[in-house]
Amino acid sequence: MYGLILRALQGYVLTTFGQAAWQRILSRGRFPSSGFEPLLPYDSLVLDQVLALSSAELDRPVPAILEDLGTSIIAGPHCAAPRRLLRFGGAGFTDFLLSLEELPDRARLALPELDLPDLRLDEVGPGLYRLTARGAPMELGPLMTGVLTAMADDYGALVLIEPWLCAQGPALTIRLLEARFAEARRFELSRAG
Amino acid sequence: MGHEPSPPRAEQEAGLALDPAMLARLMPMHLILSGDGTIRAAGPLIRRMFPGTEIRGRSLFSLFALRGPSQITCVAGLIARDGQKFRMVPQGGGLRLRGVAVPLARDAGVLVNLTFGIDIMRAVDQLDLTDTDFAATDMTMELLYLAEANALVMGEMRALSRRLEGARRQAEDEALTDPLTGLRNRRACDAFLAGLCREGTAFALLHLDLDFFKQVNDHHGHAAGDQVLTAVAAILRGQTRTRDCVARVGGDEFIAVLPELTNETRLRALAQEVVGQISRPVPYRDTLCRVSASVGMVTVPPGLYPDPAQVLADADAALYAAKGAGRGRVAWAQDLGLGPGAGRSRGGNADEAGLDARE
Repeated sequence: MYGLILRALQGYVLTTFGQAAWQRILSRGRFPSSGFEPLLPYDSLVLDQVLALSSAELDRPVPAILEDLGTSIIAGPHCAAPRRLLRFGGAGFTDFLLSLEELPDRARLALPELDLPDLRLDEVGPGLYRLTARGAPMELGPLMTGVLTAMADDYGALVLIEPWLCAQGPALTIRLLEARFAEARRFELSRAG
Repeated sequence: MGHEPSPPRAEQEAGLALDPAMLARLMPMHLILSGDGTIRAAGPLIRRMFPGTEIRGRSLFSLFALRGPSQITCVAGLIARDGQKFRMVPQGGGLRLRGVAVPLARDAGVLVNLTFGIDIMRAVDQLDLTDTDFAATDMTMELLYLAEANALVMGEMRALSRRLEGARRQAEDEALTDPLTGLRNRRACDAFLAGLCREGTAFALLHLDLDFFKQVNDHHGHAAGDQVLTAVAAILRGQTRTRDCVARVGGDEFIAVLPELTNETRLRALAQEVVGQISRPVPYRDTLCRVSASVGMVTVPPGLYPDPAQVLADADAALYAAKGAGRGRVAWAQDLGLGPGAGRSRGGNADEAGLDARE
């Protein structure tokens, strides 16, 4: 999982802040200038280090970088794949939320060694959901916020997402204000579309 | 079948009461046929296959060819499948379907439920399907998701392999290249020579050593020396073919291995040309650096499989002889009674006979 996040971070920093900024981050951390490979295994410490270096280089707090990264993974110009794969979760945003519990198993079908944390979705009130990633690193909180915000946009839903204090791992509350607030972005099942 | 007591009539009727819209939601690819094969009702996904055409009222068998595994041409044939699968293709070809038929109670016809099976990828493409077109229990979304995720992972794997292969080639190339001149290095030369010896290929080997190179370094500095080495490399490259291996094997020592080139006249001309060009002064800043080159040469005829170390030793001995006879000379190992083809010009003073004067 860290390889995927590192590669996504690489794409995000490169497109948003440019080659020079990314090369400075790599050289300060003594990482190879070719960057990170999405399918190679990395230690979680590598991600911590790259995030700390990025925070210093971009002069932004780590959670803010992670939330932007989450948004760019879905809505960014460099890779359409994560958004498409998540859209397979359901026709509407609520269906999509319900499909999140299956996400780690879906991901494992395609990439057995990929170890995504267990996700749990509870409906705690009408239109009010709580998403918990049990045992996951706390960095996942802001990253999920960014991803879910962008996915809500994609579905044309109006939501309010806030962090939720939970001892078991990063958690969010998701308040669905309006399921059909705007026109959803087109999603064709066939990849040619 | 048949052993269980029939449920009471009321329950039987209740079990059949299903609103067509609800049936379409459960089975978007269903058909209800009357006894003569006329389509009485069709699910929305089946109707999508015939845009602009009303299929209700038409005969199933006029629209589709059915096999299971032999041809099925009537409703009785369908019922005879007794819950077994059959296949169905539009007359004239198209998306392949798979289905099952069950008779409805009270001779109300036949209920057929269908799926695109493995043709689902083509169906999604051709019929522009979306997730709401499928039943909630349908696994198609998982299948499509998996196909796309797999393609993605495979693509990343291919990209990773390409990048690793590129890095491997580059590392290999760097390990075999002399960084100053861009010629091959000792390791590459040894491997090339060993290969030719192992295969029994004919070749010539030129061992070249610069004369007065130390003076250039001492008088004009190492940058001047580097300039000279680069110039010598360019001369060697210009006089050899791309299939030859030209290496810088020491400070001012070079080896050229020329496969399948053993013609003596051509080799002598080549060696003289190299020596002649190297004797021309190399400009460096506001001065001229002068060196010359001594060459020891050995040829190996085909099918001899010599020991590479011996070939190098013979070339080295020839080079030593060339140096001993003055500067700017070419010596042929065979003329000195050395080398795999030795004995050809035995007799006479080897030191004399083996030397070609520069001019």
